[in-house]
Amino acid sequence: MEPWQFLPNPWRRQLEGLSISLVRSLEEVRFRVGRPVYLYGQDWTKPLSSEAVDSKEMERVLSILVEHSLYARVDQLSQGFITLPGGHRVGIAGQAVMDHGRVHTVRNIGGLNIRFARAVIGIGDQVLAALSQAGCSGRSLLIVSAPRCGKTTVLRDLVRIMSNQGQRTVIIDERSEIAGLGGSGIPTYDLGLHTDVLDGWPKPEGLAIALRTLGPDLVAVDELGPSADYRGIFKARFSGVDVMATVHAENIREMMARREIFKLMKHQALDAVVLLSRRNGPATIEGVYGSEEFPQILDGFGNR
Amino acid sequence: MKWFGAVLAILSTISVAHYLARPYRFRISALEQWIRLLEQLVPAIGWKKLPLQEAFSEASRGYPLLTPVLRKLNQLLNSREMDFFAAFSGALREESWIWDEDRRILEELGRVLGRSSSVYQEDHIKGAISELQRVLQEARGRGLKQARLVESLTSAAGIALVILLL
Repeated sequence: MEPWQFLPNPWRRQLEGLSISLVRSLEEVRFRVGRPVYLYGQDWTKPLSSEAVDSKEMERVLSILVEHSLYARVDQLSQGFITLPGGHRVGIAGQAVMDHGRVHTVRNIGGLNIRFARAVIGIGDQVLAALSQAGCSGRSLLIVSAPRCGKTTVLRDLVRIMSNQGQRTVIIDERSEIAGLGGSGIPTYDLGLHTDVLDGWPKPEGLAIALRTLGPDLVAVDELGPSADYRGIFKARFSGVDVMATVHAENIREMMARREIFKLMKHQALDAVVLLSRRNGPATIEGVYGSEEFPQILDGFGNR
Repeated sequence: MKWFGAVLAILSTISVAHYLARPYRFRISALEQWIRLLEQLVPAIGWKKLPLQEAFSEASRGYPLLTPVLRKLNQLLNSREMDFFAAFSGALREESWIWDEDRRILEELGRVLGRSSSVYQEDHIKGAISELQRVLQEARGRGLKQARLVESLTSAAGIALVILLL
């Protein structure tokens, strides 16, 4: 389901009128107040129309994207995004409204960034082949890359493969991007035969619930962030459950700047780290580091 | 034949009287249904956090008088062209039987629905419910009196006409 189906006209009509080749490589549609709407592809940028978007139009677009129900999206808004059915994430640029020291919501919306989520069937096989080439047999992986390099797409396909191999898999889909449930309860993507989705659950709570009630062999989480996420990963790993997770970092040096990842590697809670880039298109495998290489990496970054 | 004509004339005027009094009675039923629907919206929004369209569709089951308005609302929202207020007031305008005062209260609610967190949404809905309860009480008192007056006057006029003709 393409994200522009959720946009009002004239934008929906204009996006529907794009050529198939352009749509295939389209990654983002960006609305900014006072500027024309721009399309961003893998290595191209193009205005959608010459007319600029005013703040009233921005409000109308957002209102329609959230189905006129801001109350239902307050949690997401406070984190600066909403997710559309199909797992398409809409980043929101605006002014933070604080309440008791926490971001409560966003107002004076200045920009919307609609990211086009895609399933790429088979991309996980390439990762598994690279893992086997590197001699890694475990299934606990950390997928690392900068934004827009295909982490979620790879994770989704790995889940599908593992699930179809009979692994009871649980996805903790905090931002509704992996499964793209979108309120219907039915995943937009093929996630395999043995996959359950905890949609909208914060990662630590979701991991705890998955362990307690769903008896998984494997859990998958996207975009590790606060320390609590890593604590959840530790708990899952040392409860006999494999974990596949993703994290933002452009290279090993950036990744190792996180104390929590340092700890995960030190305690062998991961079987391998897979580094992705978009050098030859999204999900280019830059490196696979098996657990036997961890001590060397840890030493290189001043084993703490 | 003359008597048959007389009975027919009286029955016709009674039907006309009922027809003329219908909007008053209809308003009461409609207000009762709006209040019940809004009461069901509170958990749909506050607890389940359903999007407005889904919340209305879940809350609206079993309210036949409101079905045309809600169907129109659904249709307008599905077009993804207008904000909720425009769609809601558009749907209310489609039904000419809605009294101006009732329409004003509902439109005021439509202006704020969906635009804040669920706590404020509940407050707005409860405010609209108490306003609708106030107009419902008025409708039950003054409105019903007017309905009965219209019915009696029209029926009496019919009977008088028959007496005169006889």
